[in-house]
Amino acid sequence: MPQTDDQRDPLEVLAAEFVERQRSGQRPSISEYTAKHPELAEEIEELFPTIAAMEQLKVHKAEASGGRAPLAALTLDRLGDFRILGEIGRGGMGIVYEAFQESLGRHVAVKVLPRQSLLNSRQLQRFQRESQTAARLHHSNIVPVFGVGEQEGYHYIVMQLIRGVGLDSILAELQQGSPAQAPSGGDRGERPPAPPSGAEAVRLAGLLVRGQFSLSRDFAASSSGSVESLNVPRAEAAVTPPFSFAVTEGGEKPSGSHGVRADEGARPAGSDPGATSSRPETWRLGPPYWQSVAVIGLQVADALQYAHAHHTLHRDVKPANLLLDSQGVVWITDFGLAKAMEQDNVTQTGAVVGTLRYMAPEQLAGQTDPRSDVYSLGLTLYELLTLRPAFEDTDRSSLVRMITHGEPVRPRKINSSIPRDLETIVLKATAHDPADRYRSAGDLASDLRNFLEDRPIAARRASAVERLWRWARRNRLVAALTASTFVLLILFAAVTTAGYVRTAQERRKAEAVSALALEALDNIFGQFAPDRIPSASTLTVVGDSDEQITVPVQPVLSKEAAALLEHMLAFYDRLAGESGDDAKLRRKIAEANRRVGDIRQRLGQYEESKAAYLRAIELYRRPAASGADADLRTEIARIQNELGNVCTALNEWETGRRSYQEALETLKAAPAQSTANPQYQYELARTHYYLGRGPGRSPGPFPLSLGGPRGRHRGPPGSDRGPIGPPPERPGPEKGEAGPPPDRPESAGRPRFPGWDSDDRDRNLQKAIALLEQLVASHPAVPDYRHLLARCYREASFHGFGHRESITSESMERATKILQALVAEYPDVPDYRYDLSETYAMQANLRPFSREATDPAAQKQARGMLEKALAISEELVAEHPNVPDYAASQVHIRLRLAGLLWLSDPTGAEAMLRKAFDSQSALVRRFPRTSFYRFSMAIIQDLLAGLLQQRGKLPEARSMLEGSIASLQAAIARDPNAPIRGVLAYNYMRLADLLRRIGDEQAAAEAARQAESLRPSRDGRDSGP
Amino acid sequence: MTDSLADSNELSTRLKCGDRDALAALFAQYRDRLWRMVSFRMDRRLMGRVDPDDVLQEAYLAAASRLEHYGDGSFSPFVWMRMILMQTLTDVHRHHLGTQMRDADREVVVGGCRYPQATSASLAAQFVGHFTSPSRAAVRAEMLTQVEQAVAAMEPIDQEILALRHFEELTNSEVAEILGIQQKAASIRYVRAIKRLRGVLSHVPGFFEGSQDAPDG
Repeated sequence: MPQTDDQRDPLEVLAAEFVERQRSGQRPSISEYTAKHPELAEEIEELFPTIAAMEQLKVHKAEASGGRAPLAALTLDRLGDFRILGEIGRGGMGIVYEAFQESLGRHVAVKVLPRQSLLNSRQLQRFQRESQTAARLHHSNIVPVFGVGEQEGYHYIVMQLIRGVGLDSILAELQQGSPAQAPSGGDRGERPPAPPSGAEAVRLAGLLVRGQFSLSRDFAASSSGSVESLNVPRAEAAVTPPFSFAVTEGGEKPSGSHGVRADEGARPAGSDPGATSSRPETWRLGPPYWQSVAVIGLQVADALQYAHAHHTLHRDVKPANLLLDSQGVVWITDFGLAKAMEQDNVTQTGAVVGTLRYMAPEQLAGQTDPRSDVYSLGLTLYELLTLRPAFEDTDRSSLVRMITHGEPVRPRKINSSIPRDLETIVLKATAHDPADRYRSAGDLASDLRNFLEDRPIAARRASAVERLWRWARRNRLVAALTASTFVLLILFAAVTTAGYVRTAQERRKAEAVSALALEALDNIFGQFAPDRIPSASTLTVVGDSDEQITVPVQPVLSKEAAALLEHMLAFYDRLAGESGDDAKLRRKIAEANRRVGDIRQRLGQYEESKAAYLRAIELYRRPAASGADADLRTEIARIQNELGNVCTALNEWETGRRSYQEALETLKAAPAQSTANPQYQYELARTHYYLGRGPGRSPGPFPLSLGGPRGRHRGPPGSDRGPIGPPPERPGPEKGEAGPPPDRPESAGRPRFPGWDSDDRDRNLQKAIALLEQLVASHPAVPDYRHLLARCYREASFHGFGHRESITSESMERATKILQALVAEYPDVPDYRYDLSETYAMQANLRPFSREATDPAAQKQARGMLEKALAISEELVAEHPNVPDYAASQVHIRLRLAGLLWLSDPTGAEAMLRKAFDSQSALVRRFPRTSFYRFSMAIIQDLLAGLLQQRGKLPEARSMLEGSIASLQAAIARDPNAPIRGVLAYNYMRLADLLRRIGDEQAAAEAARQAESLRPSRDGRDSGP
Repeated sequence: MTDSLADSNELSTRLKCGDRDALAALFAQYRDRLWRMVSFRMDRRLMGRVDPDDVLQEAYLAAASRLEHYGDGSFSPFVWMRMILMQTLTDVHRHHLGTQMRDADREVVVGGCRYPQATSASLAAQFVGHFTSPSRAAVRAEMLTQVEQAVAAMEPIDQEILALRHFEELTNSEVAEILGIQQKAASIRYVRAIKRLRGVLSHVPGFFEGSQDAPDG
């Protein structure tokens, strides 16, 4: 396609140039061209007028139709009293011309606004009001407004003419000259095109870098506060020598001065390197430059403070609105215009992206206050320091997302020579939550002054913990945004209502909207119930030793989150119900189904969760363009794993295991080259983990002995019924054993589940561990990998018990170490604390206490562990009362503690048991469908009954025991497959015994009869004495 | 106005990969020109009923859904976008005007692109539209017909070149690409078109008298 110009008609080339200049606001003359190209003069004269006429027509056409007038070809010579001399620049709000005010004989700047912006009278009124407000501002850093006017439908504002350059041009200049500091990713034409730099920009940039601006006396005098000269010598000697050119020039900085006025006569133009307009090879930024930036910030902050005191917000502080003149004075323009020009910016496609970049998060939600201006100024300073914008993106929705959830990279990470204090100031100014910023522009100004004068600054650096806490608070902002998202969703709902979507075109539109809606939903969902695979929902935070940490989003459901998720379910459901023709949309819908499955699982609605997962898999499997896609496989495997979890929760272990198995097969079938992907690896590890763990994690089978949280059977083969039970030498059934005698000791005393071969499980665990160790080594910053690894270690330590004792405790220790580290690094993430608590609790059992009951030291150790576990658990329950897992765990820990206290402190044990009983009752009430809770309830009642009996409180013991029986019966009613008939029978026996002691023979006989009838005869399991 | 070829190539590559951000960037970069095109080619009867921005939005959605087919043709990003926009605009016209579209062959195909109305009508509307003073209003209707006829007498491709160069503000190379001709040919035709236009308009009584004076010549 590229052809050389000389093949084109030369006249056409000239015409193109002519037209180009006209469109950029210049007023080229025809005679100029005839003079330069005499050989074409005749043709030029013949044709150029027609060409010019055509350009001019564009303006008039717009007038006639009342539509938008492109300002491109606007040729004004005059606006009332003002004679237009030429265009100075243009921005989103209009074009700025230099003009001569004839009546007063002075040069001014005239900003002409696009015609469409003020078409309706309400906007016009607003515009006038804002202009008047702006006109009342008198500050040496605010461009004074002289007047407003209108001509031929064009509204214009007259301002003082500032001979200066916008900071955006200067930034562009500096960026070009500093490849090392230029924005990464090779500027993909993203940001709104920077205006051409020009020689002046180069010159001013140079002056900034060399720090050769001092503050004018006027400024020093009018600034709020001291009149002291700011010509304090910087302690340059103490600072590492800057790379700046000042050094090579012989460091001509007169002492006692901040810098030299750029136009001082002492420096003849020739000798001053700063006067050259050619750019040096690279700009090196050193202390003089940081000073300059701070001085700029100070001026603007001061002006903002003044304006805020006069009840005017700027709302659109950004480099383009800050002019730097040759004296080094910064001028703010376009005060208040942002509000006046407002026309429902949120719905315009692409138009607002430029301004959006500097907008404070709360502005996006419609709440602007003085601190928003502080924020925008902060971002501007950020950009001046790092030479790149804090948020770089074109796409509007990505920008919004980044602004509301993201944090810019720390300036010193980009350039380590940026002074730490200055960075702290900028970070405070750009804090996400307005409450964490400077309270006013004035505060920012005074901290900048502190910096300039070498005084300690007021801003404090937040510790990593504090940062995390702040970030956690940010979730509330999402709630504010969801309002707009819901509007979008409602729109979507309207659009997809059957009957509305008639034509293919409408359908296409609906699909497009639904894709947008899904994106928005995903965003919110990610905040409250994130993916396991660490990618989108993380935040980068800097630790105290300056390393970057990736913080996962809170994975636990708060009450608000649960409510929100319920709402979202409705929308996801609707989306999920759609059937897309488009393969991509189908995938989105599959995703939606998966989300639904996740949400339902979290809410404990297992059947629905299963259904949704199955739908998702079915949709993913439908012949799509990308069949062998590894990512797709990972996704499918993940769903299959979740299905396995749900089945396990429903006591359908065989189905569950098969699901895990299927996940494994899905993953194994992926093409070899794609298996290097960490997400794939992680999912594979996860699959092996589940296969290795076996059932019994979630509300699962009846805990035949309450060996630990969730009723896993723990302990040495054969001997242990769980520490709940009384020590072995205690005779008699009334001692309240922890339920029926354990199963026949096999595979380390585990309950037997068909298909869950223990060697098989061991192997799977080892595989998982191998995979995860690799992942952790290559991706140390990802907490999820470590977390899973810890759980694998824990599981593995368990498996080996009885065979290889040394390994087991080592594994457990490793697990503990990892979890402790995770808890320390991410105090806000409950999952880690929870797992740590469980690990402690398990350790209370794992010590080789063959004589645990009698060894007081061992008992003490176990107790210590349990108390540690309990402490964490209590915290968790207090913070997250909605999470049943935490409450259940707490109950179990208490139970085990009670077991330990049985002998030494029966009162204490009783108290523990009662507390456990209360918590468990609450759980049963809230989750009536979860049989596991009923089972646990039964056990507690059992134990309590035993204890009470032991302490002689027989009537109460009786009611407890009866309660236990009732719980068990209720559990059986719900879940007839539960293997608890034996337990029930046993309890009836105990009841019978107790009743005899009380003296109620009749009831005792009845109970005995019940016991007899329940005795299972099939599997030959002996249930009682 | 002239895009560097490098930018265009990069965008093109990204679009082929289905990079939606590239689409957004494309859109943001060319928005003004695309808007101008819509504004220029929209039937007068739709002015006030349809906001060009809405058309742009629709076109964006259309482009997003067609992104995977971007690589099928060999268009530069801008031209591709323009084509989609044109189709969208045509659809909009059909939707709103439907059977009201005056002539059955109101839609015109030029250079592979289907336009909602003949360029001559758009051009003519431009030329005549600048007579805003009331005294001229009476003359306008008559003049419009004459101008339309005069312009329509020009070759369609010449009309198109003028429209593309002046009202859509495209470069010579873009025009060439859209019309499917060589750059050299586009350049030469443009000059000829201007000549012819001048000739055509000078024969319409009263046309050049009422127009703005050309800049000092």
